[in-house]
Amino acid sequence: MALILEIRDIRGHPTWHPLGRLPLTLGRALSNDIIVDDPYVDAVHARILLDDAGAAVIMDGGTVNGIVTERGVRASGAVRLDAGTELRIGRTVLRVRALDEALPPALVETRQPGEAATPPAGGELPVHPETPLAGPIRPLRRWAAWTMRTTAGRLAVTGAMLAALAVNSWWGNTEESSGMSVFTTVLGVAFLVLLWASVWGAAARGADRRFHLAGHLAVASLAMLALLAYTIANEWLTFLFPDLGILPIIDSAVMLGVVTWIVAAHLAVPNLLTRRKRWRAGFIVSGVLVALIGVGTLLDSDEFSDVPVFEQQLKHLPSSVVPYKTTAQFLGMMREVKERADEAATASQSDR
Amino acid sequence: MGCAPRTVRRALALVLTIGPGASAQVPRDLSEPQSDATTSAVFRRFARPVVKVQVAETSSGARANIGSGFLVSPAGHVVTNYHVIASLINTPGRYRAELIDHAGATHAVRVLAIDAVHDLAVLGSELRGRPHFVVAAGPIEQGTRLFSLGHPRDLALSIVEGTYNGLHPHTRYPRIHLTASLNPGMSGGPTIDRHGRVIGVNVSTAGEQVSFLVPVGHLVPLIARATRAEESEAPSLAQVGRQLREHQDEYLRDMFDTSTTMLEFGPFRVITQPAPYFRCWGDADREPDLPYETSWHRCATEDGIFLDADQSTGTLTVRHQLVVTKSLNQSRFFALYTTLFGTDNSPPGTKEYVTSWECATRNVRTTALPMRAVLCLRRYRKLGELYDGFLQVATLGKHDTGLVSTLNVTGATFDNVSRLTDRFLRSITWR
Repeated sequence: MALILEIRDIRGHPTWHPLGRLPLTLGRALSNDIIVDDPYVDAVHARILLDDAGAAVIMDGGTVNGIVTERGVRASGAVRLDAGTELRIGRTVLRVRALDEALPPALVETRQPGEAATPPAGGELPVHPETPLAGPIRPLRRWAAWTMRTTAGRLAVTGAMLAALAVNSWWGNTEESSGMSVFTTVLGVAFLVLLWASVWGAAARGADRRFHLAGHLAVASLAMLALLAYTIANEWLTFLFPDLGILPIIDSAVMLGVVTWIVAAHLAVPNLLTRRKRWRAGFIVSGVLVALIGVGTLLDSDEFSDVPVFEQQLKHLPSSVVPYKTTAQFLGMMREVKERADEAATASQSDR
Repeated sequence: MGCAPRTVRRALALVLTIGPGASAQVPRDLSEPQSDATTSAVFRRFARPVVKVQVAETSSGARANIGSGFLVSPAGHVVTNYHVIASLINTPGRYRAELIDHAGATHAVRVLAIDAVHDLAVLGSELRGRPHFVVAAGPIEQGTRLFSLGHPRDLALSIVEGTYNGLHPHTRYPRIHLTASLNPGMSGGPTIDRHGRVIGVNVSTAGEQVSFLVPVGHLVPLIARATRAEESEAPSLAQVGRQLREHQDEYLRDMFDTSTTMLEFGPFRVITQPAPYFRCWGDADREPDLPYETSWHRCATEDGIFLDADQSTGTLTVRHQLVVTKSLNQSRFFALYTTLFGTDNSPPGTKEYVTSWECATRNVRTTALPMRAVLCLRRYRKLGELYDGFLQVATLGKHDTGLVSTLNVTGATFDNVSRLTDRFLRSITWR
């Protein structure tokens, strides 16, 4: 049976090599029959040859990372290459396909002459329906990969975010027609997230010039979920520990973390830049934000307001859980407030 | 009389036609010779010592404030309200004061003594040996006919007839209630009986023939102080601060003590009517469509101490808001409760007089119940160690009932704010 070897590199780009004239060598060195550009692959990583029974097998050449099978186990000896076999060397995936395997028929062309090329319906390069996902296989990572790399997964993340938002909104709603109010909130957020994803899609088109809308939606939705979770946690913390001075710092750190991640993740969707550069871009954006906020705060610090600002959050918890102060401690705390007010008065005095 | 008689008669006619006095209750016939004669006789006899007081900006000469005043000694002492000449004390050097006598001549004046708490001031002028009022406190009967003199809305000197209706029950700072229509511009002018005895100094109006006077009792020591002005210090904001501090010590010392009246408010017992001069009122919101009910109760004095057009002080307010639900689940109820607790019930303030609020929030447990309490303070910039305090508490521990209580006190020392906070926190209990 004639076989063809499909090689998918780190970035997911495939190349194909017929397994006709065996033996063949694979590796990173340019002297190999099949050159694999992957830093985790040895110079001469493996050999494909016919075994005694005449079947094609692949053997490891005593390499650092070896050959990893579908089950995630490093192969000890020769591995048979049949149609459908999937292996990994370094971070490159090898898949064996038969020359005469069944393929879905070609799509019907609906584009008018002169019209720009658009991605086919589904927004993804067609993945063979029976092919399991390539990549390091562990349950959590497999799930993560599913959510972030398939259309179904991405839309599921977006749906989960909207659902969580709906529940949270309904949970705190005190209006008569809470259903209507929740619906408008969710609709509003959905619209904004779609807008955000579209802007990223248009601005961050990669080499394939495609929008990857579902991917950007997923990134935005994950960020929103993280923020939602943090907001809820923050409310409880603010209620339990209103005098915790470190909370505003944690708030800022979380915000900046999310900003950094979201920039890097959006850039990762169309595979723009390298990982290091994406994160660097994320840090640069966060840095700019910090600078802007810092300047804004400095300019604002002398701003007068006759409205008091305080932590108003109330939660219902059993009294044994909440750390209460005594009245005496509260009165003691008043002295510090007085001192701050005195400082504010003398500071302005010296300006005059 | 120095004024042109025709002007006076025209002014008189104007006042009498638009005039008040008893006209709302009893139809007044202009041809009634008895009352007409008395009012014009009073005017003829007692108008001369009444002057117009003007405050002008020194650089542009533009008039910033207009009021009235009256001579009280042969040495040229003129009485007016503190609020008429407050700009001279707030920004010294930027304003100057002058008076215009009954002949229309302008004279410079300077401020000799002030009583910011009672809104009185004594000015020094060069009008020596002129006819003047002699000020002395004395008894007066309800319903006595009184006559207010002054310059309403920058018109010529006018007389307005009214009725004495006793002391206002709901003010901390004593005020006589006069049934008459006093207008802005008459502040600082005298209100006298038909014998020319000064009963009070015009100070404010609530419209609709409800006006107020500062009782003359507080004027007597102030005039005495002014005549010794050479020995005492020049009036300044620091002095205003000292007067405020003395005054607030006096009235806040016993506030909220064990003899305070309590009110049963829902399942709670809370402070009400902290002193006789407070007025309390309340209401409930029971719309059938809403899944919760709120009711509120509020006690406040009706006045304060004037510092500036935009800033007053010396007030105290107590407010309670109860929220109860039968159908909202715990999470939703607390979302609603959080919004109520976050409402701003603080008094206004201006950048010139006070700093921004400094706040701290804590969860506190008294012997009676657990609550979340926020205490905010702001300090007066120019009055020494005086503060405004804002205390807001929300009771905790119940999943369907909540009470938000607020205490606002302005122009108090830190010790008094502290003491009031302590008493207020302890005062909230279950029934």
